[in-house]
Amino acid sequence: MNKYHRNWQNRYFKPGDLIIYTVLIAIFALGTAITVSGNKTAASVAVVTSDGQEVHRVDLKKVKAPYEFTVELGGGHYNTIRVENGRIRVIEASCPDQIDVKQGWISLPYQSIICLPNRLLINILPAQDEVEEIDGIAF
Amino acid sequence: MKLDRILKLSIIILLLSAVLWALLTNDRTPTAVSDSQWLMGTLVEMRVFGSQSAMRGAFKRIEEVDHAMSRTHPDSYIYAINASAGESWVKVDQDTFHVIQASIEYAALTQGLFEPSIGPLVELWAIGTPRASLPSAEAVEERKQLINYHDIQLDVEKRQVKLGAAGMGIDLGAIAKGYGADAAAAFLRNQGVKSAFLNLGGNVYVLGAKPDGTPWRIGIQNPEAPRGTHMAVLEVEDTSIVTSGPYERYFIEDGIRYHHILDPVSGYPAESGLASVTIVSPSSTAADALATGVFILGMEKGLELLENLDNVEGILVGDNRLVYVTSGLKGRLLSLAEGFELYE
Repeated sequence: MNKYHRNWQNRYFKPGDLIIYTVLIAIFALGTAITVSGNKTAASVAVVTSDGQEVHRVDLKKVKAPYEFTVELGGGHYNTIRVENGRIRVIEASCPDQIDVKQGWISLPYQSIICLPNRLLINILPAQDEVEEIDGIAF
Repeated sequence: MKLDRILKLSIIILLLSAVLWALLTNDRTPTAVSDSQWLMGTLVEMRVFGSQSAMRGAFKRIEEVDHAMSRTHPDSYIYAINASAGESWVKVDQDTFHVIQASIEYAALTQGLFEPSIGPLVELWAIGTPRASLPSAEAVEERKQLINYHDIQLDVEKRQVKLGAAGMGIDLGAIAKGYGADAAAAFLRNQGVKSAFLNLGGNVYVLGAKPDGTPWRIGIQNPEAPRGTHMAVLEVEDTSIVTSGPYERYFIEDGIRYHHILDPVSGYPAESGLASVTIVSPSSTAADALATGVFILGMEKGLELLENLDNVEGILVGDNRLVYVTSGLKGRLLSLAEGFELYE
């Protein structure tokens, strides 16, 4: 071993230092893990928008008691929505075709209910804490 | 000198941490902007890896197309052409002229089953409006007489359009969304955007690959499940995917479902044994028009037509859940849902 090598070892790799190294890196790794995971959205979030404005957002998996609410567009146009644990649907609407009501429950990421006459949209967001299976859907 | 050593060590660790931190948390992809607007009678969604202003411009293009080609908007060129049917020529903008020309080509390709002059029939059925109801057989017969795309007259020099007989009417509902997607995508390309996802009420257009270089994974709607449930996945770049199916818009009267894809020959919603047609093409205009035309043509004639066209592929799902794909898509259909059978 040459002198330089010995010096290097002496200066940076005493057993005590190694412990400090390990502890610091562990703290850093933990911090990063928390930060990165904190950016993720929980799965099964349903978002209700009316004419482009978000009016309701709920994590379907955290719904304990079922509830209903009505979104009004003005001019007597409305959609009544029911939320239960893990699923959401339109139960009553003013639109003539009732396609949104007939569609029934949705519960999976990417599923959506659109009521064109009332410009109402219910989307279930894809889970971001797992690899997304698809980027979009042609319907 | 032990304190000195610990100090140096700490500085090194801190620097190392900073570098690693930057590497791990840095978002190396261009920032995504996204928005959705109600245009062309549907929900238009965009996810653009580029600037806000590029995306706003793309929405503006779709708005222009909508405004020019709506059948019901009193300020549109199509409204003016229909109002002057059998009487006078109407000068139109380049977008509208191009789409009318293209629609006549697709009418010829599909033996007149994709029909741009189907306006009177669409108006009669009024599917998707509060007036939707089963019309009388006499009314259907009467309106059918007004449908004939050969009677759409074009003056290329003066960029004018005229309908040959009074009562005729153009409806671009089965092609305008496709053109809107092409126009918006062209605008984004001009702005230097390399990656974007557009969805015009189910008509998908993907520009480039995803920012990480991998292809876009696009689901194909399961015709028997709620909107947003896919029956298969395609990996694509720089292409449009348009699906047509009876589940999109319909009304039910006396227990019978009447859907929005009207057959200009029978005058009634098309019954061709198909549950859905998906067209994959770099031209969304082509994909949109052909999705409708092929749906009415049916499995056999539809596949034959698609095989004869360049840059156009298709996925045809029968009522019996048999899935047929054109030669260019063989082996490319991923994650086929249970219950569907691929026929290759």
